[in-house]
Amino acid sequence: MFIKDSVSIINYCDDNQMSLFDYALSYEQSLSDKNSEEIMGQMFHYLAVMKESIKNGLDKSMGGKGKIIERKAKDVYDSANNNQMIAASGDTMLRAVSYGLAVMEVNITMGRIVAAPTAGASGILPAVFLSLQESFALTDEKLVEGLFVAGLVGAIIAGNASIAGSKGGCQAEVGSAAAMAAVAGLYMLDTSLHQVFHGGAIALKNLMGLICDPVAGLVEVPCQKRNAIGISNSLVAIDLVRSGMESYIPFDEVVEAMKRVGDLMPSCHRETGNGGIANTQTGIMYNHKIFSE
Amino acid sequence: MKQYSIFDIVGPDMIGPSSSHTAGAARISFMASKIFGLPIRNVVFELHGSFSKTYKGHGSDKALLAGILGIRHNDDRLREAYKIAEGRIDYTFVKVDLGDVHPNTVRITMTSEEGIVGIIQGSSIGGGNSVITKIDDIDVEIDGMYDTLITVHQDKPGMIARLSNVLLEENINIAFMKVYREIKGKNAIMVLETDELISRSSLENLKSVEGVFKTTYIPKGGN
Repeated sequence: MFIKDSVSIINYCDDNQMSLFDYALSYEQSLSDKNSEEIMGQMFHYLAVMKESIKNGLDKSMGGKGKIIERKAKDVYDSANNNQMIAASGDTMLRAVSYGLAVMEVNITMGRIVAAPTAGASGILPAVFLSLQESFALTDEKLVEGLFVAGLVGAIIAGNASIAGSKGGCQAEVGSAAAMAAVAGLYMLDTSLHQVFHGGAIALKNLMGLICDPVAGLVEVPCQKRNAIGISNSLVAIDLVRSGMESYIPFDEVVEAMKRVGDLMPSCHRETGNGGIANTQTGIMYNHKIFSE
Repeated sequence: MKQYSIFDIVGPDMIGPSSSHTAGAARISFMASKIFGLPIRNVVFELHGSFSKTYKGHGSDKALLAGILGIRHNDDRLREAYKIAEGRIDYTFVKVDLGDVHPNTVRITMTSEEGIVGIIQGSSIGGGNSVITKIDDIDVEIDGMYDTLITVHQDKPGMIARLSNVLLEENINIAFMKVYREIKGKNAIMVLETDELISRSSLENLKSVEGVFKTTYIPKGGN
């Protein structure tokens, strides 16, 4: 088994009457000497860590705060559940965003998270997955299947472009995570094999060109809020596809384009903390303040 | 095209905030302490490149110290590394320029209770993965992705055959094998990556081969 691009995988699944999850599991088995139970167990463990990181992030008594940012996930969560306040983006959206903020805040305060695909974008998959589980009463088994599909999507992107901010900018981290969550989300909602990658293409296109510009080089500003955007982008892409929209540019070509954009990105926009908002007056002030301590 | 495992993408579970500066750092020093193999009394971390710039902000210091204490990259105790080290290990962090090496590189000098010194250098190469690049003066490349056996032995004819014979007896398949040496006839290092676990008894047999000074075994995932 091999991972080349989405088209070859879709064709293989079509010919062999397999789902994307079947493909991902067989692929992983072909690489590993572990049996399918052990491989599934590993992913169940990651799902449990993801859920725990959301729970811990919503509990302000756990851990401290960041070097720059405050813990805000619980406030956002409370807003989503507050009947007095109407959320402009809807309660479901706001709640999902609060889950992602929670994971990022756990990560920043040296708590345990699952890198998916990286620590800097680790809020997106847990947030989208838990939100869909709540909205559609999905089982944990279904979520684990979805995580394999997300991994498959990430492996296509990593093989053809990059999932590292230091190589491809934030599009490679938050963009990739959003695309992974969109395809996996559509899979979990039983969207057809030929439609799911449209969600990935839409999510990835919408963040194309996004630079990685961490203030003081920390995974805090803008990473925390970028995860919020990754989540909303992913949920919107899922809804668009479920409403019958498609991406005019196929997923594999979007990935190619993202690779070219990443290659053209100057190093100051690739996680060095020297460009974008890191290089603003206030960004530089934070840098001095933190590292002169 | 590089074939990524699904778990290269989803995973590892780790203590934040940075896969390369926290998880990768913990993995380097964990492997370093395994390779050194003796109880450590004193450790000096020489931080190069982006490690030296952002190590405090990303908790690389705690992660490095934790690894030396045998605490893994996904263990909650990583946060408490300073407290756990108290009274057990003396430690120092120094910013250095190691020259033309990966930007996330650390050189770790470990001293045992008896005053034996070991120096191990490693780099965190992204996504929480890391590679050991030097053992004492000898350049190596060990990433811990397989069950890995490292031997230090005398550089003389027949050593590789004798060692691989021990593995043959247990039907262990060697996936990759590299041999390194500094000067002809002196110490050589062999790194063997295997498809099967090496049993305790085989390890004992490997140790008893004449001309073998030291063996270290890092089971897969020990990285």
